[in-house]
Amino acid sequence: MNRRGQTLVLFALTLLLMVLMVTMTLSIGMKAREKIELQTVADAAAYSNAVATARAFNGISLMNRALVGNMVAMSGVESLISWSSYYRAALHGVSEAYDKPLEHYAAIVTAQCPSGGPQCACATQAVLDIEAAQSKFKEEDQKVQKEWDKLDRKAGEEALGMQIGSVHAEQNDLYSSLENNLLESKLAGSIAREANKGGRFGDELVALSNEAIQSVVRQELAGGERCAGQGAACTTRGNKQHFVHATMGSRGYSFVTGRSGGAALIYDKLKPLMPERDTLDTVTNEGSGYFPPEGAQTHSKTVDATELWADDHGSIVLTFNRAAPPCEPFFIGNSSPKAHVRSTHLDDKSDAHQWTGGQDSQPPHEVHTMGYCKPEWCPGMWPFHMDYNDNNVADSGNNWGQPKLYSVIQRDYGRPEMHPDPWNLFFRFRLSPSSESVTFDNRGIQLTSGEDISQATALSAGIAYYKRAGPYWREPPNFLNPFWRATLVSAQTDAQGARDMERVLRESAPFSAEVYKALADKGYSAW
Amino acid sequence: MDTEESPHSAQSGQAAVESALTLPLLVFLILGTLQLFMMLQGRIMAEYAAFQAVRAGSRHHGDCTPMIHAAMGGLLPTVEPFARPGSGSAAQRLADAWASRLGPDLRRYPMPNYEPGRDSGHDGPIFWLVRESPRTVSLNEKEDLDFDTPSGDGSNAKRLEVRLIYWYRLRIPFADWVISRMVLAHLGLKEYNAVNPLMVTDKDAGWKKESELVANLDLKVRDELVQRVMAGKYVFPIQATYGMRMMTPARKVHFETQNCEPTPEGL
Repeated sequence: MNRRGQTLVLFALTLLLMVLMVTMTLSIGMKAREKIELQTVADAAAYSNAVATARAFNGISLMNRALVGNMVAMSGVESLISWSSYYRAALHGVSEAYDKPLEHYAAIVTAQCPSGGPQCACATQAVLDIEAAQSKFKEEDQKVQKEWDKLDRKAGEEALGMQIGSVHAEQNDLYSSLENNLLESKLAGSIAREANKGGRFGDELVALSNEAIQSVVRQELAGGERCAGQGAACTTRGNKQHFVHATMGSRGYSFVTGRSGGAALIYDKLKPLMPERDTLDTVTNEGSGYFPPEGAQTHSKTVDATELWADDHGSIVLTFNRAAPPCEPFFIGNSSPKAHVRSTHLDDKSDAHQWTGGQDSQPPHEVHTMGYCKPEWCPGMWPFHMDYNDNNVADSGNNWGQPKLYSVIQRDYGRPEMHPDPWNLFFRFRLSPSSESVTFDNRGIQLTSGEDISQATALSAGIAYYKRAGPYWREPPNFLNPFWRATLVSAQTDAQGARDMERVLRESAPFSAEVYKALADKGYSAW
Repeated sequence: MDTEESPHSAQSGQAAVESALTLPLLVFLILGTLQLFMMLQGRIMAEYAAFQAVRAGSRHHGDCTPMIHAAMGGLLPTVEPFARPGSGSAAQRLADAWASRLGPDLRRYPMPNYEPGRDSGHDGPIFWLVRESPRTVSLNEKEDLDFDTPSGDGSNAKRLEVRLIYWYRLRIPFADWVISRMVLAHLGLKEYNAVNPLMVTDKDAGWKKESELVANLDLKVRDELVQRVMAGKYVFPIQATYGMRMMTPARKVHFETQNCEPTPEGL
């Protein structure tokens, strides 16, 4: 009996056991490491997508801010046009104010001169003096007229120039490059490429871009023309009202909202023209630049930016002091000058520019018009811009319309280049010639029961969300403030999440979709 | 001389006795090796489960339910080999195995417990989930509003840090008992003074705490370990940690307890 081989057999078996356990442990370790890596890359990609979206939204919001600023400036320019006209109205208004003393002394002339009354001489002199003053102011108005047309036209052009901004085109460029990027998973792709550096071959990790992922991007992001779609970003606004209100509220300069300081300047301008000894008692001036509904010369009830208006009104009080005794030595006169300018869109010819005692010598629709409006937007003069889809801001089930963005990263263990690591064992035991062979497969390609698990897949969801810091966090998402941020969220962060996720997984990795479905049915919640 | 051709019967008996004496040790070496490697694999999965639990918590306002769901999912391959052929699809078997370990109300109060029927008589928590950060006391408001605007350079952002204690079930017979009692003795939790299973001639094994420097286990972990091992349910506490920034605001409602039930407080 030979026992020499006994230990050797035992040793060999032990060694086999050791090798098996070492390789299996290595294999499990590598799989876990690779799974964590896959998930981390998916998270990084989803986060980057959300950051890119938040940045684009902030860019769009800032441009809208600029547009609001532009429109505020436009109401300022229009205000200046109206206010300048108010100066002309005031020149006329002074004449008008003199009418009261004029009537008074003329009545005395009529009453006393035929009978040679004592006040005939002084009243006649007063009438002459007043008429001289009135014609002096008319001359002044004619002097202004010489420069007026040129300057008025320029001012009109400047107001118009504020409307034709490139904001909308810039916003659309920004948005379409974002959408394009997300549809093709470009950012996710570049993150996967970074992760692949030093890998076994170039595209070990792949950022998927398929029909299902793209349809989620469109559904979450694309709000379409006039917010007809369900996504967050409308390429043209659905409703301009909040923008008009923001603009009206942003006209902080009190000259534009109430002509503060306007009266004093006009007073100073009129004062030197007054004949000596007459007094210009008061000049008041109120007015505003605003965006009213069609033909409304007020913004007290509603604004909707069909037109651009500015108007001015006020009063002038003066005292004629030059009547000689026995005439009454002084007499007070007053008037209420007015001016306004109205700018409508190009095809609407009802633009107007008039003031007490005068109006444009050039047709106002040539000088003070706004630009062309597309038929479906008419009547209106508000420029185009992108907007947040406000159809969604009340929908908490849809995260108030804030877009979630999926990233799917895949590692295909079944690829031929994916040479298995030496510890990923694969044995085929042919235990008997007749029966089927028994296999042990540790490569992560197929389960023992035959399911294809070669597509290791990780899905991650990012979200671009609006948050104004501090006590304003309830402020609804919008494209007026650049307070968009990004984070990672549950893939089922909104009501459609469960359906979207299943759709994306089904197209990306069938087995993952099956597992997803089975776990979801049981109540798994950690997506 | 050729002793092998005609061995003395006495020498033959000697070999048998030698074999008998060393056999338990030999068997333990082999089974113990298997068990240790499996524990190593369990440790890998515990690390993975801790990662998944933190990732879930970070995106779900620190809510324990998805954290436990995710951790259970991560550990599942070491709890039940669902990939073996059986009834239903593999996905279905996976989901069944997962759900069967989380108690009757897993959607609201998941209890990750061993199933005596499926886990060789084991019961009690499969793992404990300790939330090291954020602390309940640091959450003063309903929701941590400034989670995304940490002050300073951002290094003080609110983090979710988790310690997962996996009550790893030792599966290899004989080795489970021997390793468990050795561990208890080594940690100074329970001396072992009966017959030495590795050397049956040794009537008093005398396994006890030999070194002052032993793993510093939490009191509650020690108690649980002693209690389970003495009940014949051989487990080993594998601890894994992971941390991540809170990607969603922590909500006070999810932090009524510091740790995720059924994990005891004060760990």
